[in-house]
Parts: sequence; structure tokens; C-alpha cells
Amino acid sequence: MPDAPRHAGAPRRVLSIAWREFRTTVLTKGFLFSALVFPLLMVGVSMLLPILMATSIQPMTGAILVEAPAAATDAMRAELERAAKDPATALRERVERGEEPELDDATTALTPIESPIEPIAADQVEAAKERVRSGDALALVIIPPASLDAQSKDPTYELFVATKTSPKHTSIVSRSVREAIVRLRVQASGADYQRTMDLLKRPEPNILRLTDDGTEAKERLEGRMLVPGAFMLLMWITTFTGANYLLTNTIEEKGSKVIEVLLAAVSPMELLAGKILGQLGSTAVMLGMYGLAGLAGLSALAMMDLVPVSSLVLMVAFALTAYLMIASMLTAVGSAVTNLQEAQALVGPVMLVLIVPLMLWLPISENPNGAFAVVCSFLPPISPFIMVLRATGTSEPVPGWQVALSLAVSAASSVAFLWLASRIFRVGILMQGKPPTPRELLRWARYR
Amino acid sequence: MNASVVIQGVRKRFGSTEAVRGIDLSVPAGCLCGVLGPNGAGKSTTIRMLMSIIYPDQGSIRVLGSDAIAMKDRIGYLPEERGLYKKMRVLEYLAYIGALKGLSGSEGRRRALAWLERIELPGVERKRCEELSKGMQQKVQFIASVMHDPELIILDEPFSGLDPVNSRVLARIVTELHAGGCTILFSTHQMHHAESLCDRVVLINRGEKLLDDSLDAVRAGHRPTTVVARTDGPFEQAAAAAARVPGVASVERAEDGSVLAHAADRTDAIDLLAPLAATRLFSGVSLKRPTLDDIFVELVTAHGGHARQPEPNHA
Repeated sequence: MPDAPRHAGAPRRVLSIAWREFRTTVLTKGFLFSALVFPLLMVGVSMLLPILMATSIQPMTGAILVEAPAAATDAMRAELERAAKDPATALRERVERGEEPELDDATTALTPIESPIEPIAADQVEAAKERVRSGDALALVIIPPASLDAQSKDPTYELFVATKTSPKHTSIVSRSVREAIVRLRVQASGADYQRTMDLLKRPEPNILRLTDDGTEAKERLEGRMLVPGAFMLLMWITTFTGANYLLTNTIEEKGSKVIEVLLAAVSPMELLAGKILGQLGSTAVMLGMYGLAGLAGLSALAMMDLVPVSSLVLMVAFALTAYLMIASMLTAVGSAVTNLQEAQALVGPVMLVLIVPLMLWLPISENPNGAFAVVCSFLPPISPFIMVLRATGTSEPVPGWQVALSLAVSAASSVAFLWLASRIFRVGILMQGKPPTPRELLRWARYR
Repeated sequence: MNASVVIQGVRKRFGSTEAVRGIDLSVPAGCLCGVLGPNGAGKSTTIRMLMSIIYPDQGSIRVLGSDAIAMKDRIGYLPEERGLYKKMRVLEYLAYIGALKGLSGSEGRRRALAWLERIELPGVERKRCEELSKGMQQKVQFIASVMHDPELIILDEPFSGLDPVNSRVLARIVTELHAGGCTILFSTHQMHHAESLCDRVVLINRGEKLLDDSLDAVRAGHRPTTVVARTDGPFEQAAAAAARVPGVASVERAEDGSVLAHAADRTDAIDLLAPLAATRLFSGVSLKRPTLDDIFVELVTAHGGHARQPEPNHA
């Protein structure tokens, strides 16, 4: 026999299998789109959106026709001038007064205001409406004198705009009318407007949670609910997607009969290890891409303080254990069946367990250090998801020993799941015919 | 001579079915051994145990002096149920299997290209496996089993599904590999392949070994039981005369019109030659040597027929 360069050894064989598994998954159109293009698109859109919105700003021109007492007309003119001169201050004052900012407030504030105020008489209203309809004027405002009365309990006004008028422009006019009426009514009551506005400012709460370990943690809804939920969802979706690729690839290899060719070259354990390692790579790519997209979004919103490095490290560590457990289960299922339909019957119970963390998101976010949450953190295979949900929240720090113990339990469970999967895999992969029941699967694990 | 394969007292049961019943086998190094048997005889199960894909319930198996798992890089195996990654390109697939067998990527590709030429399959290296015909796929699968220059090659039904032209190509390569020093073990239920290639045959039926010897010894051990008597005259007259010869149990018509005279039990067919010639109705008489097919049918029939059960559907 001619002598050839040999690179034998289980690690090299495992790496060869892993590399093929990774390549055949990652280099598909579906994966490239979902794991690479889509997150990049998300980042791109989040960066482009402010630019697109800024370029869509149209200056407000066209006369605003006002049928109102002279004081109201003057007050309205003053409001518009203030808004035109310093839109940012105007916006801040509104928010400080307790007004909920609207979605397009930022672009509304940036809109150049060039519309003159044009007072009209009551008998000119119909002609004014016609001017607005034809586009000759921007809007018609009618303020009844009674609305300026300090005693009036139901002040109102009418605003007429054309069908084509920009909602932003309508909003600016409407707001200036409202501000003018409030200002005049306050003055009519004899009170000082600025003083009254200051009195109406709503206090900003500074909620602090006093934790058992003696620290104080600032309460933030997004830190308490949204960020941990996003961490868990990201982990759940990526690990489950990676494991699902394993399931379908295993079924395909078994169905195409290539499995016996592979088993002639490698042991079942090497094959299983290579496949799980390969899909771990594709899962890492997905986790990395979506994670980066999320971080880019948080960075754009100046909320990076919600995601400390420790949370990222914890998520990666727990995601690894979660992936190993789910991948073990789904590979065992894939080895035991011959098509996806048969797989569904066995994947069902697995899914029932894995859906639990999603159902527990809200209750555990509400009380991350409750007895139920603590117990769930040590129950595989949901333990990684529950601990990430608890440990990445900003409201209550989780005791370090619980994090360490949960990680240890999850890691040990991963090893146990891998062992069980390898026992089932080596038997199931050569099986044909009727799919096994879950009980038969467990019996296979005891085969010699 | 060293034995490449040693099987001792191997048994394998699938549920209530005993697929292999205490088989002993020793395949000398450098031998080209055919494992014969009807469908469901236990050939593939035995081979899978040889490859450590499944494990025996009892008995021991040594391959190249060790466990097959430790020797996988030195064994080439073409399974009966063969498959390919349909979407993979031929060269990529072969390089991948080569890598699993210990070849570097460049060496795997070099050997794959050389083998594609050798097996008369040039120019397909860039094609996806699913684009190949069934016969071409089978050739690619054969390359995957031998491209790492194994010492022992185990081929499970290598000729099934191949047309006569490709069968000849494969038979030629098997002969060349054998001549190069490889030990080759292949299973088949097509006797003519075993007869033309093997220097040793093993017959398995119902999970038991019925025969294990060199081809010459097998032939020598099965004496002729039929005489071919050629006649130029009417068949009926010649057949009637042959039937009257003492020791002839029955006669029948051969495809070429000759009379086939079957010897009765305890009668040596050679003793029928002179009496048949003496009838002066035949232009020539000769012994009909039993083919491997005849021996196979005879042994299997004597062993109670073939294939007691379908192929097991599980490991």
C-alpha cells in the first residue's frame, strides 16, 4: 500500500464533521438571510430611520387664519414664535408639564415654522374655509370667547385644515392654540402663568428597591422587564434554532442512508460530538449577530447602561448549557425517526418543557428573587433561561451563589443530556421502521 | 498466514429473532473472500458487527488484530444501504470522507480525482451528487470506501444495482486491489460474481455458516451429479434411452436440446458416462460440473430453504 499522509485521531474527525455541519447550515440562503442579512438590516434601518425622518421634514408655510378675540390671536402668535425660535425648549417644557411626547415629536420640533397669523372677522369664516380648502391658507382656527373665560369648565376651539395638510403641521397649530388658551385662562383667573406652570410640574419619582443584601437598586421598567426578557428570548430563539438544524440534518442523513458510511469512518460518539459542535458554531453566529444588532439599538437609544458586560458573559455561559441540553434532546429525537412528521410526535413533549420559560417571563420578572424563581433556576433544562431572566435584570441583584449553583447544575445537566443522547443516538441512527415511543427511547439508553 | 478477520462464536439477536447464530470465521490476509447467502441470511448483520457499527450479543471479533473501531482508518467499507449527501459536490464529498479516514484535504482531493479517472467517471467532480445516475453514485460510494488505501476492504453487495458494463469495471478494480495486496471481503447473493472473483467463499443461511472453504475445494467437494448427453436425433428417443440406463434418476432437456441425465442417489455420475455412450444415440457425453449456484441452492435447500425472516429493521 502506498504510504499517505494521515491525520488520524478523534479530535480531527470531530472537527471535520463539525466544519461540514457548520458550513452546510451557514451557507444556505435561509440562514444567511435570517442570521446575517436580517440583523444587519435591523441595524441599518435603525441608523437610517432618523435620517429618513429628518429628510421628510417640510417647513410649515401658509397663513393661519384665526377668528378669535385679539388677545387669543396675539397669544397664539407668541406661542408659534416661541416654538419656531427654540423648538427643543418648547418640547422640554411640554414634557415637564406632564404631556406625553408623541411618536413624531422630535421631527415636529425640528419643523421650520414660517406661517403668519392672519386674524379674520366672524363673517369671513366661510371664505376662510374656502381658502384653506384651496390651499391658499394652511388652517382656520376659531376660538369662542367663552373658551378664554377662567370660569369655563369646557373650553374648546375649532381647527380646520385641508385634506392634504401634514399631520405634523396640524399638530403644531393645534398645540399653539391650546397653549394660548391655557395661558389666557390662567391670566384671566388672576394667577401668574409661569408660577402656575411650575406648580403643575409633576414630580419625577426615583424608585429604589431595598434588597436583602443591603444595597439599593434603581427601579427601571426596561431594566426589570424588557432587557431580561430580550436576553432570554434571544437565547431561546438562537439555541432552539441551532438545535432544530441538528434535528433536520440528522433526519436527512438517516433518510439518505449516508449515516452508515459515516459510521464506517467514525464512532457514533464522534459523529454526535461533531454535529453538536458544528451547530454550536451556527448558533454562536446567530447569537452574535442578533446580540450585536440589539446592542446597536440600545446604543442608539443611549441605554447601554442596562447591559453590563457581566450580563453578556452570563448569557453566553448559560446559552452554551441551554444549547447543549436542547441539541442533545433534538439530536436523540432526530436519530430515532425517519422523517419530520415522526419527529413532531417526539418533539412535542420537549417543546412543552421548553415553552415554560416563556410563560414564566412576566411572573419571574416581577419577583426575580421569589421562591418559585429560585427553584426554577435549578431545574434543567429550563434553568439557564430562568437564571438569565433573573440575573440580567437591573432591579434586584441575584445572590452570586445562586448564579454559580445554577450554572453548575446546568453544566452538569448538559453533560448528562449529552451522555443520554449519545446512548440513544448510537441505537436510533441505524433504526428503520416504526418510530419509538419516549419509553422505548429511554430503554435504548440501557442497550449494550 | 495472518488472519485479517477473526470471528469467534458470534451471536446477535434482534428482539425475538436471532439474526446470527454462533458464526466462526477466519479470513486470511490477502484473501478475496465472498460471503454468500440469500436475502436475510445474516450477511449484513455480520458485516456491521465486523465494522463495530453494531455489537454482538456473544462472541468476539478481531479485525486486523484489534477492534474495528481502532482500525477504521485501515478498513474500507461499502455498506449495503449506501447514501450520499445529495447537495454536496462529488469532489467535496469524497474529500470529506477522506478527511474522516485521516487524509488531509489536498491529499483527499488528489486521490478522489485519480480514482474518478480510474473508475471511468471523469469530469463529475464538480457535479452535485444528486445529479448523478444511480450507477454513478454507486461508483462514487465505492471510491469513498477505498480512496484511503485500506488494508481490508469490506463490500456489502457491491454489484447490486450496477449494469453489466459498470459491474465489469468494478470487478476489474476489485481484482486489481486484491492483486495489490488488499484483503477483500464482499457479500453477494449473485453467485457468478463470487465464482469469477473469489478465491474463498463463505455461505451463510439462517444466521449460520454452512460453508467456508476455497473455491477449488468447494468445487472438489461437490462431485458432478449430472451427465450432458448431446444428440443429433430426436430428443424423445434419446431421453427415453437415457432414462433406461441403470443409475439415472431422471432426465430433462437442456437449453441446447441435449439430454441432462441426473444420477440417482448413491450413483456416481462418472459411472453413467460409459452406459450412456454405449446406447450409440449420443454424439458426445460429458460431466456437468456443479456451479456455485448449484452448490448454493443444494446447500440452502438442504438447510431448510432460505431467508427465514426479513432483514431486521433495527440495530
